[in-house]
Amino acid sequence: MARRFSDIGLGTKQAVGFGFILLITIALGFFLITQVNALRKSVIDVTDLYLPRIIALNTISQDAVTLHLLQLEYLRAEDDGQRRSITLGMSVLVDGISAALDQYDSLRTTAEQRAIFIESDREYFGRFEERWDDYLSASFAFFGLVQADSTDAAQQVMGSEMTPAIQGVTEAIETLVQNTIRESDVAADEATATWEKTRTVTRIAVFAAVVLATLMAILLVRLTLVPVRRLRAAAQQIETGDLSASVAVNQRDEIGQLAISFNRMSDSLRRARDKEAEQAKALRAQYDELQATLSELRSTQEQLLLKEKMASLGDMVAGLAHEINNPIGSIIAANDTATRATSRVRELLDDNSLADETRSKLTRVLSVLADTQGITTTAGERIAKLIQSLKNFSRLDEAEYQVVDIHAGIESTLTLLANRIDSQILIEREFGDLPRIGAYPSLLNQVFLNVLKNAVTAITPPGSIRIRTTSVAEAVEIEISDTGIGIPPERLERIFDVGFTRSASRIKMGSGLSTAYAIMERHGGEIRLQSHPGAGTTVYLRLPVELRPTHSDRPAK
Amino acid sequence: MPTPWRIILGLLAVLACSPASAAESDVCIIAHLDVPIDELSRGSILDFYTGDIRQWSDGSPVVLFDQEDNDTVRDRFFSFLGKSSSRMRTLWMKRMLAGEGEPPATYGGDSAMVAAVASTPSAIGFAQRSAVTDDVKVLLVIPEREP
Repeated sequence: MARRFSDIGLGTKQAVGFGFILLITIALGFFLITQVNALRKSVIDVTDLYLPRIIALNTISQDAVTLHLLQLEYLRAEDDGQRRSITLGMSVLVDGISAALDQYDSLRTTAEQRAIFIESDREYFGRFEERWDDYLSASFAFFGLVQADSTDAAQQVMGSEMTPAIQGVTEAIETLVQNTIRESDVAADEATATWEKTRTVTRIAVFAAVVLATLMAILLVRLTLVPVRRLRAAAQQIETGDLSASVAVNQRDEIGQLAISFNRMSDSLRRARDKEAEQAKALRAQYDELQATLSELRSTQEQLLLKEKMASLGDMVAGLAHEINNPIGSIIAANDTATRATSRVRELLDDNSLADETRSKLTRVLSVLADTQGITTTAGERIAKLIQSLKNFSRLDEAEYQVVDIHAGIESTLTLLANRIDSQILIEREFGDLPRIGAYPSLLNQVFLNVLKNAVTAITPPGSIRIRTTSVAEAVEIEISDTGIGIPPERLERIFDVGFTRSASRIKMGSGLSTAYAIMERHGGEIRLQSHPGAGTTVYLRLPVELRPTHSDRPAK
Repeated sequence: MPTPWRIILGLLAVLACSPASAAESDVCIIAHLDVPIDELSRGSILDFYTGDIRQWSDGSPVVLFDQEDNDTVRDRFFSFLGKSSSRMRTLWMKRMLAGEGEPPATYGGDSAMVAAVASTPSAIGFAQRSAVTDDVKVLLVIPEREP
């Protein structure tokens, strides 16, 4: 199963890394122990085997030579006492040789067990034993001859057999010692070689362990620290609000899984934010719609209020007109009767039956009466006309849609405003030939009233108001210009706003232009303002001949 | 019976008899007829020759004999005892110098040895079987060396 190292779990990675190093350390430890044991064995071989062997062989050699010298003395000894003491010395020497031989035997056995005994030793030792045997054999003969007082023969045995034999013995021992030294040198060389090998292997192993540990550390850092840093950078990116941050994943260990989870989280966040933004947008749209509806509602409410106000005003005006009409009728009728009566009185005066003085007096009285009646008639007719204008303006009896004469509406409005128009304000009429148009007359008169009222208010007498009407294709245009103070630009911007007034605490008419705007809009017409502060204002009104239904042409309630 | 088979049978017969002929070269431990025992173990013989035992069971002193100039028999004898000739002689020298006894008397050749043992009471020695006579008692036969 081929798995990449980067896909293995973090714990396993570390375990593999440290396990590897541990393995090298253990192997090195075992190797060192083995080598130290080998060294120790070499040292023990030298100190426990080779050195005692050399000592034992030297002892034998020295004792043998000394024994030979004592035998020479024994030959020359003058009495038995001297001989006994020499014999004692020789006995001690032979004892030493025997002990040394025993020791050599046991050392040889140990060496054989350790398989470091060399066959050449056996051969050299065999030669020594042979020579030593010869010497002992000759020695027995020598002692026999000495005891038999054959001194010459004994001397001859010594010269011809024992001395060469003892020389052979020392030579053989010398060879053995040399051989043993060579062997110990070999052991020492082996120990040195072992030491050299140990040192080299240890150096290589330590170097390898260092290199491997470094590589393992680098690998672990690459596979853990680097992705973790990348994750941190991405997290910081998200922290600063950049939700597009993601981490490249190319490993399947815990860090890889963490990166995948991180990317999922980042995606979720991004989706959530997008959704939120959409919702906010929708909410904003809803808010705007509601705001527009609210604005419309307010406008409608104001219009309703105005309408109601106008309606009650109309009612009042109608009542007033009605109430005034009757007495006026009575006054006019009575006056008519009085005029006729006065004429009758004048006819009666003509029959000259009366004294001239009385007649002239009566004629004077009648003249005054006739004047009074004339004034009354004029006043009555004027009142009647005013009432008619009032009724005409309010059109209370005909508030619904009908064919309207624009000029009549304007004139009625002017009549109503007559008392507010200063005598120094000139009304210029430039009336064109207008067709009669379909409209709501009471509403149109409201527009004229508001516009003319504003014009009158704006003028500081003397001044003039020019009313110009023209007929264009399928529409009529009314242009009302004044020579007033004009409207500042910042005010002009909001001139059609609902209830635009300085006091917002209660609904006021203000300029009344918002109402005019609403009415014009309802008629499918338009209203525009042009003003230069200090030079006056011109209001342009445009009305279609046929009222086209608009979205706001709702049934009036 | 064809001739080749006879030859083969003859050879087999010779091979079968060879142990008997080899026995002639065996080295025997011999003693004077009067010694109180009829056989000895290797350890006892070694004890006699190292001087650790110096008397027979009846109290008579052991007289040890050695050969000289007969290396074949001597080597067989000493290697059977597990001591080399030089080690044995070192022991004897020790004992002699310490005044504990003389080394064994030596005789040149098996026949001289057999004659000396036969004529010396309490004597013990060694010789090849071929030289051994009825005048001496054979206490132990050193077997053929294992190959």
